[in-house]
Amino acid sequence: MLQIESLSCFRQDRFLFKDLNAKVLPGQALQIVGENGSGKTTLFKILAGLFDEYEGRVILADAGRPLYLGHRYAVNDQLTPIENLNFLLKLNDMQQAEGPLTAALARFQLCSGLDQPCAALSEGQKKRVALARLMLTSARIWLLDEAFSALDAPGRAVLSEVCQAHLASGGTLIFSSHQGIPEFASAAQLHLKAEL
Amino acid sequence: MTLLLRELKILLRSPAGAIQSLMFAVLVIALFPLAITPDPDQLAPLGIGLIWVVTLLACLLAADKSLASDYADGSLEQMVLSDYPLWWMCLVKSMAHWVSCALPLLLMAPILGAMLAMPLDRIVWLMASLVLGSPILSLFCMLGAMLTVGLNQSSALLPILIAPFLVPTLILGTQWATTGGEAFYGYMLAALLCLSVVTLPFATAVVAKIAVSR
Amino acid sequence: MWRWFHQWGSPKFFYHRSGALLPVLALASVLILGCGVVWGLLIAPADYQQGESVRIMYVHVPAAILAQSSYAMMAIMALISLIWRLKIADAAVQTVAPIGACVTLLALATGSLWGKPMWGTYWVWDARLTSTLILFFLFAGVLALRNAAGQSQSAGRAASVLAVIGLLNLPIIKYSVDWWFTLHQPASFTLTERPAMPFSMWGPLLMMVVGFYAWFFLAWLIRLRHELVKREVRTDWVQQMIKQ
Repeated sequence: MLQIESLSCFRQDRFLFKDLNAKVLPGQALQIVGENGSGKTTLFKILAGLFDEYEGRVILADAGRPLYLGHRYAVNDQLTPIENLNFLLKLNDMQQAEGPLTAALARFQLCSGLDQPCAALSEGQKKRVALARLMLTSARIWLLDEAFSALDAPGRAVLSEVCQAHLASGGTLIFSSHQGIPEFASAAQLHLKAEL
Repeated sequence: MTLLLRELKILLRSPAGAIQSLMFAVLVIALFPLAITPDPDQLAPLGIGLIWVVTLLACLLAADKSLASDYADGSLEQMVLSDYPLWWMCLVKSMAHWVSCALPLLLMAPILGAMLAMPLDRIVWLMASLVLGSPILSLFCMLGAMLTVGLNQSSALLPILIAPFLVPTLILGTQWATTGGEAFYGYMLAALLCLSVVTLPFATAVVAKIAVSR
Repeated sequence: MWRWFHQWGSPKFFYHRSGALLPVLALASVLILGCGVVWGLLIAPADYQQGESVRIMYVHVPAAILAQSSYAMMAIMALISLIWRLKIADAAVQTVAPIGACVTLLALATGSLWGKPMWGTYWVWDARLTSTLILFFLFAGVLALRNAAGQSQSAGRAASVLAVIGLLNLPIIKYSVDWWFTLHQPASFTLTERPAMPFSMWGPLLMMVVGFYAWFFLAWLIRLRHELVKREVRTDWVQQMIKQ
């Protein structure tokens, strides 16, 4: 469960947002809506715990550490997809043997070229390597900032399925997306307006 | 351990950085006889100091590479968010920097010393002082890299910030090597190394949290 | 008592209360510096070894003392701003850094000028001058980082961390420079061996030191108040002040 109370953030001489309130229960999704520059990324960073100059409260009740996937999704070009996944999971103490890692990558339609450095992959494929982490994480709260971008239609479909499975098992999802995601059209929305 | 392996794998697969540091060092050392004199009697006494300064410069120049790529692709954020102690990751990054930058120079030291007409026993003491002193350089360089990561500034900012802190290591290292291993300087250098290993990773971790919130 | 300290952390309180200090400091610094300058540069006796050029000491020594203590003050303010997240402490760090750098430059310049009549060269690598040079680079580092990182809070925090680390390293740097110097000390160097100074010399010296400090705090306070108004320009109390 994630709750935001009267969240305000003042950054670089302007208020990014003022007095935000929201509550997301297990099994629910929340979409952050706003134009470029309206503070979406900052809000995600606050929720993830990377940014702490704000007023108000962010409450993450008995959910452990959230999983944060931002614009830059932490895929190193010199390492292979398996090594990247291994490292990202190890950071949160969720190491797996190679079998589950390969299966997770396959779920996101990455079956070949797994032992090549990621420099050989396209942008969309690298994104899928990062997203494969979702299959193996035990985090209950997912913070996905623009996770659906840079993916083609099949990729978005897989991601939607994975997210819905997560919600069905009682997790919470907070995401932002420039494109409309039909499966989440009915999700609650939090609008951020850029203050001029 | 996984973190160290990751850093080393990245290093091994793109060794350009390490090779560049090496080439830089050899080039600068070659410039000195050209600029001053090829007379071995004048070069040899300067050798320890010159090689130490070149090592220091090479470490400073290579300092921000690995951290810059981690910041750019988002790995730094994930490292800050992870359950692993951040100070350990900073220490690992310093070790990786040492392996990629100082270790090649340390191994090259005999050749560099020969280029400056240094006698063998002095070269040995030079290498000993580098073994103790260069990790301190790497630890400070990683601190400097973390302070300047993500800033779109010239590459001269990091040296300006960190060079004053490297002066004690430079002085102690060169004194220890020049005096042929006088124990006082050796102990001081070792003490500085212990102090740096114990404190700098924590300072770097504090700065890492500041860096990702930019 | 803690609450009394806490009050001073608020920019509005600090601004209004410190206004009273300004004329006091201004008067004190003008008077004390004025007397010190007259006494030291004109009335005090010339040194029997160095002649009239010893008078540079009356500027160099206070500047050197102030340079070191201003770095310490900056680092302490930086520590306060890091631990208690006080904006006023951050503004204090930002405003004192250039002052400290200039004072260090003054110490370096006067030290160099003093060197010419004493040792024959404009620069000599003695322990004190070298330490002061490194101190200048420490100031320059904090200034450069602040400049590069912008005006955000994280920039302030990064510069503050650098200042604190600088303070912790300062003793190590000073010791190592001292060791380095004693090893390479040229035989003819005799600055450190001086007989005890008579009152007619340390009197004006003390006065100059106090005067320098008074001027330093005056300059810092003026800059700090200016910076506070700049930072809090959106708040009510500043808007009211502007309207008046």
